[in-house]
Amino acid sequence: MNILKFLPIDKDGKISFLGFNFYTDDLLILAILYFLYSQNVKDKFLYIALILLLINK
Amino acid sequence: MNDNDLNEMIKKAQSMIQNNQIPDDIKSLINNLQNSNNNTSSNVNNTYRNNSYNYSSSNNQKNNSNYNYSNKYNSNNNSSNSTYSNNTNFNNGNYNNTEKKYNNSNYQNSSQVSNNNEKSDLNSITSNIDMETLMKIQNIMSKMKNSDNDDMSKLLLSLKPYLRDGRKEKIDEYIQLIKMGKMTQFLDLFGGDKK
Repeated sequence: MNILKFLPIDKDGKISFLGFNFYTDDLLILAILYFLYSQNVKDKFLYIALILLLINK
Repeated sequence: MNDNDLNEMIKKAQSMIQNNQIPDDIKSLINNLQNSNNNTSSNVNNTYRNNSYNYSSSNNQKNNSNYNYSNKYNSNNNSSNSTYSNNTNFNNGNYNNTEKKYNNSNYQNSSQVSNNNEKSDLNSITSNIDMETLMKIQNIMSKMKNSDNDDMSKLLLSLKPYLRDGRKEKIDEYIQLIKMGKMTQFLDLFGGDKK
């Protein structure tokens, strides 16, 4: 199964999803944040670092 | 060397001083000593008093010569006070030509010597540090060293190759920033009332 069929990624690596434009590393950071939250990780500094990375362009 | 030779030499030296026949080498040595004393006293904020230096001569009177030298050296320390006084009086024979009074008195030096000050400062600093504070500092230093290999920095560094170039540069900055943030947790150990 090719995931690219479900995610419209253009040549620059952008993904338009739900009206937002994401890069692949944005999705990776969001996935890590969700995983950490689901595993009840309490390291707030790690969350801060990942959110800062997500905000930073 | 006999005592007579010493007496003769002393008499010769006195006669040279009385006749103002001091060699240039000795004058330069005396000037150097005075300059060095002035320099050291100015460096350590001394009150260096050498106020009365009276030198008078008359050719008609024949009297004794008095050479009074008083040196008072007071050193003030936090721990100890020492007073060094040296009073020497030379009263020798009758001289027929001149009367010269050389008074170098009231030479007072109340100083704090720099080496003693440094030692007293070190003693005061080390006396204020107790073992409990040293142990806290040691704990913080060990945690700082261990923070290089913690899980957070490992995760962020492993994520680094999958990020864009702009974010790769920021990863190291964020790791340092978060280490500093964690350090504030350790610094709370130093004190302060917690509500």
